[in-house]
Amino acid sequence: MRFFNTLKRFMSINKDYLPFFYVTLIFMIANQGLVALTNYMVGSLTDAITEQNIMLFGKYILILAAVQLLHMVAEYLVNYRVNYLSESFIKRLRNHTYHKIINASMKWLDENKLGDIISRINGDLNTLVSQINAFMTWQLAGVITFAVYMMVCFVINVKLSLISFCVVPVLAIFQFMTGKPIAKLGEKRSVAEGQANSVFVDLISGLGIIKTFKAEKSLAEKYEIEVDKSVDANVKSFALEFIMNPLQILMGYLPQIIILVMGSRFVLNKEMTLGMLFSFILLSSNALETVYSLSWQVRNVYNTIGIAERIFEIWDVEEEKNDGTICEKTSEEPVRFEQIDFGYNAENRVLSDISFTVNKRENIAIVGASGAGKTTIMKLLAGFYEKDGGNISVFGNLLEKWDKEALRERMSYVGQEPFLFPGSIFSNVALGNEKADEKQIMDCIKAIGLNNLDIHTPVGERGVLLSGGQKQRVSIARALLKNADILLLDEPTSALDTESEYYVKQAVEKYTVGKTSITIAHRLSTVCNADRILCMKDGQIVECGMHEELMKKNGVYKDLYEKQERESA
Amino acid sequence: MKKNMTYKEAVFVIFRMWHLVHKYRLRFYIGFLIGSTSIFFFRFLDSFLIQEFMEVCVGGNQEMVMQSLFVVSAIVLFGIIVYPFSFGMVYTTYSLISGEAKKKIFDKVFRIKQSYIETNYSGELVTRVTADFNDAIQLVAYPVVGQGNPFALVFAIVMIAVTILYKSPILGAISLALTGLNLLIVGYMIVPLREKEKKTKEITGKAAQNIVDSLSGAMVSRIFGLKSMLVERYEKDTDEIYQNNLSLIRQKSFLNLMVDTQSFVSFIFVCVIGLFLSTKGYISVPSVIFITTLQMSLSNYVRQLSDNVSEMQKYIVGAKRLFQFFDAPDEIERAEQAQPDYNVGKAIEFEKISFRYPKTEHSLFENFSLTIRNSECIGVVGGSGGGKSTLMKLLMEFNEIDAGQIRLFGNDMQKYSRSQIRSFFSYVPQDCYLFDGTIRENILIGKTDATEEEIRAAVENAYLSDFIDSIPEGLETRVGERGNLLSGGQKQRVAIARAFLKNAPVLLLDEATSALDSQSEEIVQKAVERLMANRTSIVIAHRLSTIQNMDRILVIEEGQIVEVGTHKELLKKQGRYYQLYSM
Repeated sequence: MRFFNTLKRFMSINKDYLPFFYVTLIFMIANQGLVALTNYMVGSLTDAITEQNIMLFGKYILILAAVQLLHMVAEYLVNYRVNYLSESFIKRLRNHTYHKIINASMKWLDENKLGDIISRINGDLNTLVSQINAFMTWQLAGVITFAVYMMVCFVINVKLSLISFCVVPVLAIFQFMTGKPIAKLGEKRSVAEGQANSVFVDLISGLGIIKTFKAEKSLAEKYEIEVDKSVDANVKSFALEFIMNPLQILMGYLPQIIILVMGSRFVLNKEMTLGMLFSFILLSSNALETVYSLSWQVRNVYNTIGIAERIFEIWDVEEEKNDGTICEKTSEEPVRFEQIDFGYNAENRVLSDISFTVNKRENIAIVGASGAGKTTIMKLLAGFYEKDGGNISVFGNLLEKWDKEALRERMSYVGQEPFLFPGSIFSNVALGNEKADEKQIMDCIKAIGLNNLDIHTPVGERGVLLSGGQKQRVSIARALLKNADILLLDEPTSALDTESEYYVKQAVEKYTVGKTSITIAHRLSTVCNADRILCMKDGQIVECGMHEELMKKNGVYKDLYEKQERESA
Repeated sequence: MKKNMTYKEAVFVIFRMWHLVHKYRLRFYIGFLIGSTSIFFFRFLDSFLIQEFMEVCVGGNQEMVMQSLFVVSAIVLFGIIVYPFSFGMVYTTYSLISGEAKKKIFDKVFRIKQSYIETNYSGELVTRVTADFNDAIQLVAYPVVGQGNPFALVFAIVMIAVTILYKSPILGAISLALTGLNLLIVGYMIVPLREKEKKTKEITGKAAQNIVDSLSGAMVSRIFGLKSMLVERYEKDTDEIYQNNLSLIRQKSFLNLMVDTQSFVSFIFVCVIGLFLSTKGYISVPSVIFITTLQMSLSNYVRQLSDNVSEMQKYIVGAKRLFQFFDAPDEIERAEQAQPDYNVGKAIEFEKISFRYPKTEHSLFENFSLTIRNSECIGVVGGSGGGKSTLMKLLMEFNEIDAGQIRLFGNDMQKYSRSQIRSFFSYVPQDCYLFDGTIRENILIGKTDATEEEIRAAVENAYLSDFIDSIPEGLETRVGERGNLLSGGQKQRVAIARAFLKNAPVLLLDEATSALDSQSEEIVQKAVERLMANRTSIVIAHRLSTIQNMDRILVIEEGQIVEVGTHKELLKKQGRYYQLYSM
């Protein structure tokens, strides 16, 4: 049942290929029919020889050649069509999955470990791809081969067919029964192996520390235990497989021996000709071999279904909502928050009763301890999450009325960790605005002082290694090029050393003059010049005003400020 | 490197890999040798079966039926006992060897010179070694000694050739000639296919990277409206894979068509000649069929072999790299020739040392001297790449000086064993590194035989007790892979508790708080201050605020101490420190 559900789900994105698929199926059947016919003709040929009938022999040779010719053409077509289908399925699968990821809600991305998702998607996708390919090119063809050959065998001799194919259901039951435990052992094996691997990775990354603590021995023991576990599971699963193996081989040969005994008796009793027996053997041994190898692959099916289901989980990921339609400003007031409540889940409220406005050309800073909800405000503003209560307006329109793309077009963003796409410094800056011409891009690069670097060589290649500060400057240049109405800065200097921090800060200050900006900061010294500072505590705005005003208030801000001053005094 | 590997070298690498098997060599070689005959055995059996029964049919009686039944059953029985057994032996040995090899690698990782790792792997030791291992281990696994065994293919090819030549020299020679023709066609046509296969792999890797980028840059790509660009990029890749594979298929299908036609023509040709010969009485009809069925699989095997060999090249390259790793120099342990005097006035002395990183042009340190008194707290600041962290590495002997002398607690460093040297230091870097285990296990690394009271005290001193008391499982809480179930500050405090427990005379802190936010930084800083009390300490800092109370602050730029003094002195000087401070 699970199998059919998986198949149905998978085919749901490939419906338009169904007619092509059915036609291909007919081609495949016809092709295998031709092969069966060839085998049949070989028997007739043999008969003609034993009867010393040269005329008949010649006739059969011609027929055989004609059939073979047809088969080769059919084979070529089938081969191409099958692979065309399989490649098309794979392409669809990849693209469909990619669309899902790229449209996934920020919530999902935040809730899951990125490393896990990535390795899952890439690993699972590649496995599934090769499984689809194997299914289309081998397994499906195998089933058809078996069915067609068996039919021809029955045409040649019913009794012999009944005897030789009676082993098939036995084989099926056998595989069905042993398939699951073996698959389970295999799973155990790969889990243990994965565990040992992660211990390995884990330990090597802390090598220096381990050495100073002379903890090599105790950690090596820990590792060896994991390795032994995986080896043990490995040996056990192989042992089980090879206890089964003789039985499987026996079942492969049993029918052949039966045919040998019975068939020769039939021939001696003139019940069938020698040639027909020869054909029968060719066909039945091929058919049985196919069943045999198919039955081995049965255990893959469990695996494949599991993998497909994991991919489907990604298909089911909640997408980012975008049902707003407004694309234009209706007022010049950049941002207004009115009594906003928000929590990432029902239990924990992260923001409560947040109200503030940002005026045009105003530089706003948000400060407060970590966990106070600073970044959350930014995420709400960029439409990554939906508020629980209250209203957010951007340029006169309610946030949810905005078309998300149009909304984000009005914003620029620099995060804590610089993110660069593969490509050169130049191409990364250029991403900020696709309409920008080369001069504009170069102006931005110069403005941020990156022009003395090799800006056209892909980052990471040929020694173009950028420091954290340089990368952050690239992402600022990118934001600069975008030249959006609102600039969002989320602690752009927090991960930098003193010197890089200085340059980045200068660049930001130069750029924000006369622009609307919202900056999150935890070093208060960096935001003294802001037009207004929102000081947050436990999800609420507790103070608001200019630096001097807040200092006079003797409140939370002053406390924070003095604490930081003390540290650096 | 891949292309230029000689044949001799390849064989050497294979044997060296197999030598890892040493402990299980009997199992391995028996399994391997028997396994190598398997392909031929089963192929022969199939053809023999047909021949046997045809003989019976042509001129036989019931008695002959029973006789051949007996012969065939005996052979089949032999096969089903011997081969699974031999495969079982090879596969289980493979598991054992791969376990053994993993342990060897692990052991080597601990012994290898730290400087070798840094110059040759620059942070990707794990990926490199695991990837190489995965390739190398295949040389003792299925692709090489199991069912796809190239040796079994070679054996089968040779034996089939011998068998058919023995059965009928004329027919055999013709069959072999036809097979040769077949191979010529394949060999000529297969080269461009390989190129295409490689290309598909490359683009698949690119597409995978795209997924990584679009996930980790989600915020940026959305705010900058890059979605459609990314989708376009990805779809371009998948389409390229699609096009490339389809053209690959077209060529492959054509190749198969050619090969099939040729095989069919050869089959008919051999049949006709064979049957002609049989009418003259040179050979029996069943023998003709025996030869034709054997001959048909011959070209298949050769083709498989060429696939296998090209696969094997990859494994050999992996094994070669793995051995390069195995052959890398070890840290050599020295005998203890001196005992430290912990009460000596000068704890650490650098005397005119010089040091150059391998593969770099200029020395980082040239005639560098520095003396640190016992229990002195030293702060180190300066631009990145100036040599701050290198000083620490030299002290712990992760890197070795080229000239000069480092004296620790009264003696030349070389007089101590490495193990002694490392017992002098507690080292807490920026990424403090916890391994997947409980908090207790992570703290215990500091001193494996610590008593419960000692652990408690360490936890207390590291300002961890409140946190540990607040979680249900306390010290037995798992920290997750690389400690990621804990926050940065908590992790760092676990590392500090560890250092308390070790209680080494010298503390080395390499930007221990720089990745933390100000709140966590505060509490970690408090713990650090306790740890520094009465201990010789060297602290590298990003944030100058954390080192203002130090006895001395060094400003190090490009391997030289450009300024020394207390915070106040340095500020007065209005030099480099002042400049950094006022940024």
